[in-house]
Amino acid sequence: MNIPREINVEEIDLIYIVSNTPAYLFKRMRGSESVLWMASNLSTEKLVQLYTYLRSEEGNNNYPVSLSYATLIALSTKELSLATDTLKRLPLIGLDWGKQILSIANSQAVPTLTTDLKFTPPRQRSLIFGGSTSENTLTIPSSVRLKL
Amino acid sequence: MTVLSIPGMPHSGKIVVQTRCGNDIPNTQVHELTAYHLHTIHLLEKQYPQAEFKPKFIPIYNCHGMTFAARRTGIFEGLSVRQILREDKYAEIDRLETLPGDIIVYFDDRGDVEHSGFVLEKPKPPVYYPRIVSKWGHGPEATHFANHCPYSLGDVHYFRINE
Repeated sequence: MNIPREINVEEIDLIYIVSNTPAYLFKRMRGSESVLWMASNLSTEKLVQLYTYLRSEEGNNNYPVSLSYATLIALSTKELSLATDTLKRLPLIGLDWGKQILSIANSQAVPTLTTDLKFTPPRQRSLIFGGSTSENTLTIPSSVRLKL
Repeated sequence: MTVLSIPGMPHSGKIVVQTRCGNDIPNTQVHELTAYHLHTIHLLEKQYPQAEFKPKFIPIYNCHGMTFAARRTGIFEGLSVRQILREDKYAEIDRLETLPGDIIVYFDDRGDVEHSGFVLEKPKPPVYYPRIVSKWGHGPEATHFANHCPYSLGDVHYFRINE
């Protein structure tokens, strides 16, 4: 499998090499141009394919493990539940920080889907002046997804 | 390519690390490193020309493991570093008062602990930053000026044990 030329493996690898903690790895990779490009230009399906290849014996022997982390982080920006499922299906062979990365991604998730609940406030005699009532809207997040 | 981490084999272990108070510090001895990384030291040398790197990449300990656990293991939680600073009674000191053996800790803009190391040489003119020895993640140990490294420089603190 060919790695897209827009992915700067050196940039990604340098981040991985100097990472002392999973939190640093996640933060720096998510801000890297390569991961931003992956998240913006590769479909979820393509990222899963790439991740699967990178974790295969061939991928593991031809590319640094940092690229797997980068793909996982890009994937987590697409759909966190899918990234979690991917990890569940693929044992964390060679990815010592895989679980921590997903945990960090999960903790930084922000609401993107909302449900509008409309209600009419109960009439209170003291607040009724001209006979008109207004409708209030309360927005409650019902699902979460990572914010890029 | 030679793979130093063997698929299917355990990649990590842990040992007992405790603070002065006897509380356990979570740690992991990482073995995740491929031969690919042995060729990446030139990237570090290119990006940080004023730093000096030891030639070996040793993944089993990280910077905090070097600073607080004598190079035996890796400490990966920022909260653990804060716990060590507190329970081992580290006291903050001014950068210009640092001496060899003092500790440097880099925090990011959210207060997460990014990096730590030892002061190697006290600050001197013209830069007035101490020379540091620290372990750069999965990479090698490096000697570098405190402001010449890949970690956040906005919130850097120095510590010494005084009691």
